[in-house]
Amino acid sequence: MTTLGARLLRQPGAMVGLGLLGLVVVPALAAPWLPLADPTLTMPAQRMLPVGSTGHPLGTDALGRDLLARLIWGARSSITVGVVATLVAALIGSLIGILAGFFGRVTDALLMRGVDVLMAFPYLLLALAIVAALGPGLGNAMLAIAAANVPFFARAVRGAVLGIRHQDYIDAARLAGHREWWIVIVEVLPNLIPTVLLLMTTTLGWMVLETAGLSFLGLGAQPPDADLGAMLGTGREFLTTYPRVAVLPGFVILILVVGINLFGDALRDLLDPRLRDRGRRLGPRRDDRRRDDRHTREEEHRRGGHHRRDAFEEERGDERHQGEQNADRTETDATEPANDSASATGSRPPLIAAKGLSVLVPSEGGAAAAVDRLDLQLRAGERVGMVGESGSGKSLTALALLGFAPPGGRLEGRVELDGVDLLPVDADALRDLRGRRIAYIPQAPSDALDPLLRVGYQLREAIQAHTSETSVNTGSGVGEERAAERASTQEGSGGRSEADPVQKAAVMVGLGDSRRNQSGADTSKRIETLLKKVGLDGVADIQRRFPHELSGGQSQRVAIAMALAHEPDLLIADEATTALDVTVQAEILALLERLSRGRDRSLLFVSHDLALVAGLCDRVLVLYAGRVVEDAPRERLLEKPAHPYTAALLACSPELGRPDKPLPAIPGQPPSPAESTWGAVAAGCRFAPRCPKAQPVCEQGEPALDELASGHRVRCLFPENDDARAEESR
Amino acid sequence: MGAYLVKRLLMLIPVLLGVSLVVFGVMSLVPGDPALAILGPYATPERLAELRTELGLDHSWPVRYGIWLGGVLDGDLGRSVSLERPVLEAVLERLGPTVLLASTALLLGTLLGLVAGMVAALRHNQLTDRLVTFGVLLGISIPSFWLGLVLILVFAVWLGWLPVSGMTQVWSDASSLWSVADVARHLLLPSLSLALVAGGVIGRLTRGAAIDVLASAPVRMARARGVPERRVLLVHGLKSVSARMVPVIGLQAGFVIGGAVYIETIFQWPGLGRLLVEAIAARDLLLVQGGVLVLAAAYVLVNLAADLTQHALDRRTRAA
Repeated sequence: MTTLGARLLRQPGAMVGLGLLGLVVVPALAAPWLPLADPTLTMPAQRMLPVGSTGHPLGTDALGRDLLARLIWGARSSITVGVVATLVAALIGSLIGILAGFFGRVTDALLMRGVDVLMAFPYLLLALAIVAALGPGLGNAMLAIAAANVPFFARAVRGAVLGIRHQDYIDAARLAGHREWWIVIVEVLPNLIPTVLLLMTTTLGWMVLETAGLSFLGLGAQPPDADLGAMLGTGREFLTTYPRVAVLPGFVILILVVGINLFGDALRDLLDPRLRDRGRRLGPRRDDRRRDDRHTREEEHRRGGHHRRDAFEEERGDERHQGEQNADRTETDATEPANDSASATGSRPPLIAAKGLSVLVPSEGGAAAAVDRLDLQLRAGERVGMVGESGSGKSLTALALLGFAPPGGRLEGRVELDGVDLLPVDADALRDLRGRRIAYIPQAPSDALDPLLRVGYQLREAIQAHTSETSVNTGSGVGEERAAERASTQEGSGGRSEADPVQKAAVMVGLGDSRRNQSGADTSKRIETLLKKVGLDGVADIQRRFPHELSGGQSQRVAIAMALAHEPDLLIADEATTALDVTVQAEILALLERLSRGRDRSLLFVSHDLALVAGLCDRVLVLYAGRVVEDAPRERLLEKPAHPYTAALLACSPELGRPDKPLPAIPGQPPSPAESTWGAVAAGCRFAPRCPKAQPVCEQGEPALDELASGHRVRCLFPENDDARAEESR
Repeated sequence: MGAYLVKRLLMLIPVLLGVSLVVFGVMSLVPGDPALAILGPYATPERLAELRTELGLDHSWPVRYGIWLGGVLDGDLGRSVSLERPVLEAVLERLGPTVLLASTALLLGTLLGLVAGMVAALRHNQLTDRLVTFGVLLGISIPSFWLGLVLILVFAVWLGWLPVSGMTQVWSDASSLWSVADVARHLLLPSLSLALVAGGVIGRLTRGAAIDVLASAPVRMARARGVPERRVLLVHGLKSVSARMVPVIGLQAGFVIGGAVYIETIFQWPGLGRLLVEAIAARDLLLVQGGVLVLAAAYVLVNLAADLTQHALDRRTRAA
């Protein structure tokens, strides 16, 4: 609780809220001891005295009563009524919610239908009806407002109870033979308290407003009692002549409720983890990225936590230093085999290359590297697999190749397409490249398609994204196309001559606008061809459907069709078969293989399934905790895995025809990005804590990605299947 | 759509029955003799006895509910003591202005809220976002009855741009094109008082929904295909956000209907809300009962419309 208090105090919203609350609540609580005039004492002779009169700092009202005294006593009344109404609603609502949630079945059905019906009322109307029946009065108004809010509490508390009911400790208590009421009081109630408190802070503001409203209508507090709502109601008569008499009480209500809500919001942000992430920033927009980087860094520094972060910065600084040297070394390491095979295939530069690519994600202590200084190359026509556990950073890497940073995170390093870095190019150039040169197929079929739009619409959209029909949305497509053509033929002396060098280069490698003209009929024909290509029949029918009306396999075929729409040079399949049934999985794999074989198209196949990857790809990268730990040709990896982690992955994949094969799990958990950036494993090999072969030296420095054999690199001091090195280190 | 519509319409029956049960039940909270409460202390014994039989007070509670419900289905909501005319007639006469006020306010509030929320989400954690977030909080915290008074003070009393009241006259005379403009002039301030508050809630929830949607996989996939950003936002983004917000907007109709009670009182608006306040003051219980029943039924229908709209936007929604 103390930490919660401390965290609250650090939130500016909470502080302002508390300040505003204090402004109203403190005088209201202290009212009996303050040297105030009697708020109900009428002095007709001193009627409507102006502000600043002697003895009446805010003047008097129509009956000569002191306005300041009435405001303070009125606030006292409004706060009391609001708080009591909230307590009553919380108590009754929680009781109903607990009964419904814990006992379920008939009790639940009956109670919740009742709650549903009450919620079918506009709640002020319900309160009005109750006041009408019971008769006006502050007590009745309070009861009415409380009653109208009971359903809200009942529903929320029931939800919370349902969440708690299925926890293990409840089952344990039951098995221990405790009675139901004992379980409710001892196990359920304490866990509900935060939920109910949170609901109370969020509803308190409403309750104050609503009870004041009833008093305003003359149905709550009765004259001569001082109540903010009632003062507002009676002051209304003199609105044109003496506006302050009506305006001031309303203003006090506003201050009070803004204070409550600001404080409540801050509290909710801290207590509700589901909402907490919402407060974090989204990925910065591309053109803002550079500025944002600096900004977040400054902010991080300003926010404090210097000790840890400064250590981190220094450490990273050092690492960077080493990293640069390393990079130099690994670059030669990396390019050598590439050159070897390049001379074999006809000396082409890599199609896409990531150099020192880091994906930074937000974490408790600041930005942590979920992908850390990763190098990766794909030549045209090459099929590369990327494997790792979930959280190893493989999906983040795949998205980073398209220039996507995760929510709240950012990218560092370079992603080069035909030798040009994509990360600094502007949003439009990047857009033009996505889907046209690099296409992406996501993991779950449900991720691929917008659930609210028909399949045909989305196919059309995917095609038109890079044909001139999009000119409807993006301006004169044809003109831009010409400009781009000129720019590329005359090497930037045409339409884009003023553009900065990066953009010029971008145009040269085909990043610029080059949308083709395409008519509606052409688009339809194209859709038909694409759907047939991925093995979908009933083209018209498929297009009419919504994504949820397709099977998983069909959705994934549509996603692949979209990815193929512009004959991309690189196809990234991010766990594209994971969410599918086994038979469908095989079909989709076969399709991907067919679509990538014998062409210049490269494939980056991301998966956690090493066997699957090995079956499809020429080369495999193994990722662990954001680092490449092994990079080897397929056969080599399967026969002689060098990294203990790879070996363990291979050992735990099942083999057909060997049902008796033991499948050892790898003990332990992979480190989080924060742990591997500045935590427990930052200093040494990240796999060391789980590695069966780990030596003390493994934790003293991270091994480099060294070449073991031609085209086979591994980040390990004691690689498997390397007797010479193992011998030497002994 | 067809199956959904039928299912959703069938679901109306239990909800409306429940609503009628609550309205009837609340009115039986009246302490003492209901006939005496309705007719007041000066009623003749004969009239009291007559009303007792009419309300079926000598029967058990379920039977009385049955009698009352039968009357309601027949269009008989009883007779108003204070107005000395049938309740249904009085209520329907006042329904039009309330529907006009509430729907204008809801429309304005929705526009304001959607735009503010989307803009804040697009500028997440930037200055614009903070300003919108604060404005939205102000909207949620402001007492609508106070806002109405302040608007009157500024725009009618000080600036003299718009009328304070007088809608009653305008409404009964409304016939020509000129009167449409006149109605609009009278409508502006009261609907704004409600719209700013409703817009606060809608804006706040839109912001949250839009932040989620903009970071969602379908939106990212549209971007990954190279779909132009404007299209990503206006087609994919806006459609998802709207689908999520439509039920919230339906719920805000409840706030607007409730708030109309204050606003109609302040602006002397000839609507059902003001009629209710007058009826409560006059202890005209049957009129209160009838007014609440009609407004609650209207609210149920608005939410039906919201559910149907949501289903049209997102076919995955089911009639639960």
